[in-house]
Amino acid sequence: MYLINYSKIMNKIYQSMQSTMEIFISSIIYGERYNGKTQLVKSIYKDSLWVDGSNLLEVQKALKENNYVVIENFEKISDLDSLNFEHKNIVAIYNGKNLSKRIKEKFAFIYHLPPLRERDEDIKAISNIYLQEAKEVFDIDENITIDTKDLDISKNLKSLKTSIYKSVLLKNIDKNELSLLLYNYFLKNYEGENIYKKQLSIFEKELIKAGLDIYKSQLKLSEILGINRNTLRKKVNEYL
Amino acid sequence: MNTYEIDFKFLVESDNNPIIVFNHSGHIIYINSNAEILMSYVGVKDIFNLALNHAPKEYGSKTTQLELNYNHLKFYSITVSYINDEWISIRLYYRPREKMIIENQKKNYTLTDLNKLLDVSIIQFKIESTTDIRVFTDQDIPHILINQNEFLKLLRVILSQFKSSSYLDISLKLGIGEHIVIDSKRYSIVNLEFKSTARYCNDDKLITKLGNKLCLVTNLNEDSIFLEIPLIKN
Repeated sequence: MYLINYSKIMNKIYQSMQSTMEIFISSIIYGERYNGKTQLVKSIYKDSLWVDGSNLLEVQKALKENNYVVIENFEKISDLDSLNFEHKNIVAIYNGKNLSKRIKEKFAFIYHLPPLRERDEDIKAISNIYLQEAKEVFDIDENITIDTKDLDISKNLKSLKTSIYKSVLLKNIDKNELSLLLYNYFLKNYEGENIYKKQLSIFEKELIKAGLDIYKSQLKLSEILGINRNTLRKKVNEYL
Repeated sequence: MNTYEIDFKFLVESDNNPIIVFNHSGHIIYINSNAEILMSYVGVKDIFNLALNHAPKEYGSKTTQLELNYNHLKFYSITVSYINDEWISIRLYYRPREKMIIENQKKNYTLTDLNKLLDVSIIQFKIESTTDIRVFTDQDIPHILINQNEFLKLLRVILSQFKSSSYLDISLKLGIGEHIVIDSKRYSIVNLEFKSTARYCNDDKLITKLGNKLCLVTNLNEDSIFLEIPLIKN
């Protein structure tokens, strides 16, 4: 599934690129890494020959032998002048916020795809796709809602996908998996003094926080937990 | 010495420069075919006044060097003549164009529908621009040989000069009776005009450079850009 066509800008670039498929033209699309450029180009040029800009010889060979070529990681091209774009349909994908004048002069059409944080419609739509994907991977049937504040879009699609997969996984963890997680965590963090007190906070803090979210009152919670209310108050002051 | 009957009218008619003869009240009594093209860009009265202002004081002929621009038609000199008070003639001299060589570039040329290239350029321009574009095109323009990539590059740069304009009028039509000489061959012309109220001029050098590479004539004005594209078919 291609993650395209949700925001206006994605739609417009898609339409423009599609309109040039039958023409001999060199186009470049640039923007932050993992912002969806590759997905967009793939949705139109999946049958073109794809080469990587870090391998100049491979790019030169592809341009010599093929009329339809997509060059990924174009920022890694070491010799711009050695590339002949005449009589071909070329799309270059460039990871970066700006293009040099030399690169701009090399291409007929130039597209800029903004980062995901500037494309609200795409965040919403793509999050839903990743959520369904994660539910399938982890074999989860129940409805899951993810708080947007849990979404990490600092690295565009890459961090968004990771944050959604993590959220889905953490919302469905069982007692045995939690035990295993804690065991592995403690194995890595068994250093220093007063370890019992320090590591106990991992368990106590979340237990009290969740209890307060459910019962709202410290008095009620102290009864449920079976501890003195003064002890609970002390721990609330310590942890929250 | 042998004497021949010389058809002077034929010579004047086939002159590449516009020649117009007016009567004493400013009506045209003769115009050659090149002047007909000129008259579609300038008023009769303007040319008549130009002739009067630069006429010799006595009967005879006077040539004046001056820069004249009528749309994309550019002249560097005029000759005004009269031998009686019944008529006055004016001949305008076209500014010579830069020599263009096309043969070594033909390997990158493709038979192309110019309307299609214009369409895709407008779609691309409208990704980031809100300029209202009105297009007037002749859909019957024959396909021509052109370097598609370089031409699209030129269109992208030209359109970007109007990115802040509220509107842009684009017209694509055959230049009736107009031609361009490249490598001693005459080619008909397709005219492509971009016109608004104003434009950026920061890429004029690049536009001229790209135009020369494509063997087409670029006319850059304050509010418009006019291209004369040779109609190369083979």
